[in-house]
Amino acid sequence: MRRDWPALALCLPFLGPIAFLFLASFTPSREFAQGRYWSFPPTLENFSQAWQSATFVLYYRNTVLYTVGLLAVQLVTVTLAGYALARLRFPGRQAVFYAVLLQLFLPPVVLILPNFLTLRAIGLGDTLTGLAMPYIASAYGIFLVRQGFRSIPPEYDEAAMLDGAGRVRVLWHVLVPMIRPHLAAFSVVSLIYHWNEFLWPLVATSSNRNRVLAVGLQSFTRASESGAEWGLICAGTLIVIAPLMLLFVLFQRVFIQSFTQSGLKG
Amino acid sequence: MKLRALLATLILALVGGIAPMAQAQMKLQFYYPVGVAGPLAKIIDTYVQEWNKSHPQVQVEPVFAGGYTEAYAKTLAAIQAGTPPDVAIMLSQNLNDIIGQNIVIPLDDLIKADAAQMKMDDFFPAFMLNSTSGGKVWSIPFQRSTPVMYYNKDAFKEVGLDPNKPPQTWAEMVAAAKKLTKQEGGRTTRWGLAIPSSGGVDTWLYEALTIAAGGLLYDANNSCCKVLLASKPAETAAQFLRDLGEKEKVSPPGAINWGTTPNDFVAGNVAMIYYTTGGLGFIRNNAKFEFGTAFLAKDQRFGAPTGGGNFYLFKGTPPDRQKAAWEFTKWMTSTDILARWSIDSGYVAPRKSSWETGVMKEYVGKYPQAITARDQLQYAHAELPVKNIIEVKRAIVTAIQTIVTTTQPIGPTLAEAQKRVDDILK
Repeated sequence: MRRDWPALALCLPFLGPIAFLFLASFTPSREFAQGRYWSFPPTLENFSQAWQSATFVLYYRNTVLYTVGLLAVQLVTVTLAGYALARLRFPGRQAVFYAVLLQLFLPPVVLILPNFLTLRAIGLGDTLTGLAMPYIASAYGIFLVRQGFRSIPPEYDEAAMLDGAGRVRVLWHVLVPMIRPHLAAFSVVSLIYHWNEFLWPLVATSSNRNRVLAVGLQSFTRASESGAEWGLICAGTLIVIAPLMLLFVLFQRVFIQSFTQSGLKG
Repeated sequence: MKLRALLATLILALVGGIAPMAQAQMKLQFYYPVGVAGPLAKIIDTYVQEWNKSHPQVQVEPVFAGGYTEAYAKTLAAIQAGTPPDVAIMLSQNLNDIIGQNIVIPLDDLIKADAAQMKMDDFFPAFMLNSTSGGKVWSIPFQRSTPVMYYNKDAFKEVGLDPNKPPQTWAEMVAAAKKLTKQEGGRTTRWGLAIPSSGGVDTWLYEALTIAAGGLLYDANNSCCKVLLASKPAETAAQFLRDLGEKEKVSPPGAINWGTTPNDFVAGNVAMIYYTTGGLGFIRNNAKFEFGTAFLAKDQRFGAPTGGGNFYLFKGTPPDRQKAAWEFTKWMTSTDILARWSIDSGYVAPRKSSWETGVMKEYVGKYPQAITARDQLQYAHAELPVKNIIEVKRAIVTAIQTIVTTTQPIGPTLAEAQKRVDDILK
C-alpha cells in the first residue's frame, strides 16, 4: 500500500475536477450556488433536467455506432497497413511511411474544411459514415501497429511459412495475437478521442438524427449570455462520460497492461 | 377489357401519386446557436415543429450549430461547400464581418413588400442599431440581451439603504458598495459590487462603463472601422473599473470572472452585480433573498450596449426558397413567438407589441425585474460593431486585464491597445 502513495499524490490534481463534477451534479443547483457543495440525500434533479434538455437516447446510439463502427474498420485497415509497412518490401515503402508520419503532424482542425468539402462532393455530408470517413486510415494506428510488428523477430513468420502458411494466415494466427496490446492501446485512444470529439461532428453533421453526444451536450451547456449552471453542466457531462468511465473501471487491468506492454505513454 | 381497366387504374394511381409531388415540399435549413444554459435547443425545436405543422409545404430543419463562434464557422463552411443554410441566427455584433464576407442579403425589399405585417418600428430602435448598416436592414432581432444591475434587497435593508432606491450614479453606487462591503476578521465576507471583466462577453461591461462615461467604444461616423480606446470616456471607464478593486476596495481585486458572478450574487458574496438580462432566470431560481434590477448607474449619462443574435437570410438561394425563409423569419420574429421566447429564455423581447400580449403581462406581473431591461433600452447604444471583431475584442480584453490586474498607467495601456486595434482594422 505504501508504495501507492506517490501515485495517489500524482492523481490529486486530476481528482479535483472529478470530485467537483460529482458534487455539483448531485447537489441541487440552488444549494450549490449558495456555496454548499454537498447535500444529503443527493438529488437527481440535475440529471432529469439535463436528460430532458437533449435527445440522449438517439445521441448514445449514434455515438456508439460511430465510435465502435469506426474502430472495427480501423482495426482492419491499421493492421493491414502496419503489416505492409513492417514486412513487405515494395518500391516507395519509405515514402509511404513518411506520408503516414506527415499526417501525424497535421492537427486535425486544419483538415476540417477540406474534409467537409470532400464529403459534400461525394454525397456523404450529414451522415455517420461521412463522419467516420476521414479517420478510417488512422496514421497514429498505422504507426503504432507497424512498430509492434517490427518488434517481432521475422523468424516467427519464416517458421510459419516453412510449415506452409500463407501471408494472411501468418498475419492472423501468428502476428496479430502478438500485437494485441498495441491494438488494445489503439482502441482505447480511438474510442476516447472520437467519443469526446466536438468540432468535427458539429461541422460534418447537421440534422439532429445524426448528432453525437458531445454535440448534444453543448446544446444546453452554452452559457455565454447567462451564468454557468454548474449542476446542469456537470450532470450532462456525467451522462456523456458515464459509459467510458464504466468501461474503464471494468477493464482497468486490460487497459493498463496494454499501455505498459505497448510502451505507449497515455 | 380487363387490360384496359388495369391500365386505367394504373394511370389513375400514377396521377394520384404525382399530383401531391407537383406541389413538392420545400425543405429549409435553419442554423442557430445557443448562448444560454438550459434546454434552449429544445425550445427552438418546439417552435419549429409548430411552424412545420402549420406550414406543410415548407418544412424547416433546425440545426443546432454550437456557440456563436462555432455557428458562424459552420455557416461559412456550409457556404464554401455550396450549400448555405436558408436562414440562420448569427451574432448581431458580427454584422460588419458578415457583410464583408458578402454572404447575406439586405432585407429592405422584403420588408417593404410586407409593410403591413412587418412593421419595423415595432422593434425597439436600440436593437435595430446592430441590425442596420449603410442605411439598410440586414437582420431581424431575435435573441437579444442587455446588461442591467442586479442588487440584493435584503443586504440593502441590512445596512440601512432603501431597497427601493438603487443607486443611480457612479458616486452613489460606490457609496452604497462601501456600506455593503462586509469585513469579518480581516476577511471580506461580502463585496459591495462586481462588474465582470473576464471570460464570457468580456468587453461588454467595459463598453457599458464607457457609455456611462459619455463616450462610445467606436466612432459613430465610421462604425465599421474605428475604435476609440484612446479617448477620455474610455479612460474614465478604465480608471473606474480599476478603482473599484484598488482604491475603493468594494470589488474583489483583479479580474472578475463573468460565468461565476451570478453564483457569487445568489450566494450572497456580492451585493450588486452588472450582468446580462439572460441571467435573470438563474438568479430568480437560485436567490434566497429578495432582489431587484436597476439601470446601470450613470456617470455622465445612463446607457448600455445591447447583445445577442439576429435572423439573417443568405445570398444565392433561389427566390422561392428565399421567400419561404423570409416567411419563416417573420413567423419566428412575430409578436407572439418573441413574447414566448422572452419568457422561455430570459432574452429581452425585441418587439414593443410583445410586451402588450397577455402571457407577457402575466409574466411581468410575476417578475417585475424583467421590465428594467426594456425601459433601459431608450438609453441603449449599439454593441461595438467594427469588423474583425474577434481580434479587436481580444486586443481590448488584453488591455482591460492589464488595467485590473496591474498598476501600469492607464493612458499608455489604452494607447498601446489603440495602436494594435488600428493595425487590425487597417
